Amino acid sequence: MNARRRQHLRLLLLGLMPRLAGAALVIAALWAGFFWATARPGAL
Amino acid sequence: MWEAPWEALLEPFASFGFMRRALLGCIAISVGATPVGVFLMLRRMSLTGDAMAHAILPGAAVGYLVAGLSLGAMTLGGLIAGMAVALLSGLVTRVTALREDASLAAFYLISLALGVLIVSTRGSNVDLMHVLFGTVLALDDAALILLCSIASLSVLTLAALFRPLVLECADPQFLRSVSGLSAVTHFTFLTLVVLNLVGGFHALGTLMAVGIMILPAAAARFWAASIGWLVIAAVAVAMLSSLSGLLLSYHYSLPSGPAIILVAGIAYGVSLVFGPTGGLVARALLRPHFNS
Repeated sequence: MNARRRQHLRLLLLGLMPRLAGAALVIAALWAGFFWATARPGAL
Repeated sequence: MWEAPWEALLEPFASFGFMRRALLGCIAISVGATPVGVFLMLRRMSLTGDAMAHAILPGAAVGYLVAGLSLGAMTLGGLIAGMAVALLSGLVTRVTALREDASLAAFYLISLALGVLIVSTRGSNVDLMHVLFGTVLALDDAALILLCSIASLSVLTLAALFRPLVLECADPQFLRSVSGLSAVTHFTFLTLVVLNLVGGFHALGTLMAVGIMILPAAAARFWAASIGWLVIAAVAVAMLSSLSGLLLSYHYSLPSGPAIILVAGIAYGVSLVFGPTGGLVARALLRPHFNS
């Protein structure tokens, strides 16, 4: 039973690393946007 | 008018810091809240999102009473109120005969009335408008850090729990039977909904925050068949709506929040008619094939 649950858990976590890598890219782009929006001079 | 069409697109963001901040705030909400909206829609919980958006109001109002228009106090208050309503409506459903939609509706109506009462008795009409419709053109550094942090946390959590979330949309009984992740997934998802609504509330207000969550998700449903593409299409629609809404509000002096949500509404209308996945035109073209 435990082996079966482990197998199901592995299926649920399939593709985790590529998704986390994609998420890291999105987050990096977002924070780059933060520095673009707040660091450049402009009215207000 | 403008010397070149792209000047109309770039000039507001190149010249004005408040426009860049508004754009980044909207993009952060699009990246964080819209994928959550896709899962809300897939779980047939779109109206739950709307109810939760109203439920955060009394907490934000109490934060406002204690500390004025303080970002931290209103965020914390909104989070506590949103989570309390989500948990209480679940509890009432478990211990009484009332269904979850009815108990959630009861709690959110009470919350909305209480929130408006607190803000309007202690504050001015301007404060009430700020809480209800947000101030996307007045986002400061602290608000942007909050929005980007919530978006980052949401993207990471959704990437980690993507498959359990998809499975819970398709077959929650199966997920419950094979894994202990079901309860964790459900609670984490509810927390993400409340977090994103509280973040969105600072920019678009309690009444509009749910719009950028649900409308792009509903529009994307007519363009994508798989959940991965649905999320990507919804985020793209949300970003384009934000950009177009901000530009329209800049050039034609329209209120920004409603302009953004209305553009998302137009995207939904166009998708409803022309979308290749179940849109009206696609269905009309398919019908003769089925008839023959």
